[in-house]
Amino acid sequence: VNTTKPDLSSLLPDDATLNARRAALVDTVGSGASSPQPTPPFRRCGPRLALGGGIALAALAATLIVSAGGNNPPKAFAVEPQDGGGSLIKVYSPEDASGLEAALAEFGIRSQVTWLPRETTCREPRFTPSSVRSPRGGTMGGAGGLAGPATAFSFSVMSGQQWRERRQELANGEISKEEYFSSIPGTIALDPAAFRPDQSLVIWGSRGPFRGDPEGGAELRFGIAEGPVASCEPVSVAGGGVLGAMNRAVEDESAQHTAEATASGVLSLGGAAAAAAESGPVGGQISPAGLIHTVYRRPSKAGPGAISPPGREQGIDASPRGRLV
Amino acid sequence: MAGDTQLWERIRSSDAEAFGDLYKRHIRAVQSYCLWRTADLQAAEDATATVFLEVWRGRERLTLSTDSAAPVLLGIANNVLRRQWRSQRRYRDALERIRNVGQAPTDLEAEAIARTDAIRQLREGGEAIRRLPRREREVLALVAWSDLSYGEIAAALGLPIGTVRSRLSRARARLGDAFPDLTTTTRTAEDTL
Repeated sequence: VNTTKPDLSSLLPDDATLNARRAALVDTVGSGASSPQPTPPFRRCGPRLALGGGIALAALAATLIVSAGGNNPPKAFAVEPQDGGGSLIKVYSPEDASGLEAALAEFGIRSQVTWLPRETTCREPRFTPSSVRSPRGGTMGGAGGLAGPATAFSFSVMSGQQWRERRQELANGEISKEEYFSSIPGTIALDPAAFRPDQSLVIWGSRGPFRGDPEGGAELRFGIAEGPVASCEPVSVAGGGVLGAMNRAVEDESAQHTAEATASGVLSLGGAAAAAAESGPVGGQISPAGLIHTVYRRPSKAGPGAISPPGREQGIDASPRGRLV
Repeated sequence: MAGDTQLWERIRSSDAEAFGDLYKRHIRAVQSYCLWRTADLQAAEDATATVFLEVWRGRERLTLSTDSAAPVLLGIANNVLRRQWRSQRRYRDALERIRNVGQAPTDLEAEAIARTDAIRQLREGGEAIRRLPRREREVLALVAWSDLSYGEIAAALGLPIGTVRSRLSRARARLGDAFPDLTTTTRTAEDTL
């Protein structure tokens, strides 16, 4: 093995440096100054979270659960490797923003996540909108939103090649439509290779009422940023935002009711398909409970909307994946 | 070198001096491994310091599986490198204190050239391994870049030894001719078990 190793001696500390660092380390731990640091407050609106299992040497479970503090810690999110490659990040609760950022960073996706108090959002604009290629076809960019049950959001990290292979298998009749959709899960799909070095994923959102449960729902906004992202300045959302509009529509039992939302486009989360975006403010379509709805807004600059599909993907969106309850 | 068991027991009792001795005993092995994995001097130094800070933090629950602390330390290094960004943010103040101590001079031309050359070799030498899937990369990196036995690697990663062997086998198959020295030497290492 040694034949493959270059000489690292010039990169390793000499004895004087080693002794000085040893003394600094002993002093640091002896004084208690090595205690873990809190994360910056503007990035973390929920309780501090601990990584379940920490760095214990036992094998990591296939599912890595990150939990919130407290006597009965709820799950914030889970990372699940997928059989066909890639991973699925399931968000169970809009908490542990830094943990979700770290989970995305492990896949090479830079992000800024901000979870806010209910009925608030971030003042905009705070970043330059951009777009990336979606691994399920089309592009994703600008700024979009999801509203629905708090436990129903997920991010699929996968490659475009993975999606093309499944598409080919579906076209060849080798897998069923159900198998196809289960192989490319996630309400949002992300391909780390599609991000340029100056691009990042921006996520923000808050918990809210859903189906009579005051904390049962969540609204999540996302966008692709180019360059720096300013910290979030919380501002109140009139009428509870898209989640509020969705709740009112559910209460009215009207699938056609669009509340205050200016319907500029619709995504029902059934795959890569999405309607092409139109210019306008945040929009959405409300339909009976049980569906998550995606709304989107065009970036202020010229460019694609939150998700723009390739033409051949139109019409796939009647998938069971849209029904997440 | 005497075993680490007694030292470890003192560390479990919050003996900071014993912790310093453990650091001095294993720092080069840990930092070498981090250098191989990151091919970045600053990243490797921060990861190394984080490994020892994590040992101190987990001293009451961590146990040695052998008489040497090396498998535990390199197992922690593996986890720190996997979540480097998050791990180091946890200790940003402590890392700053340690990082600024005793920096070796870098203005000597011969030393600067040696460092640059070593970094270049690190980057070129490890490129094929760094492209492997994570699970295979972690096993192969420990085989290639540490002095641990297969049993110790299994302990470090919390895996059965058979899994270590199968992942190593898959990694070698993927590397193929891309890294002939490594595939040859790992084969030799396996044959000596």
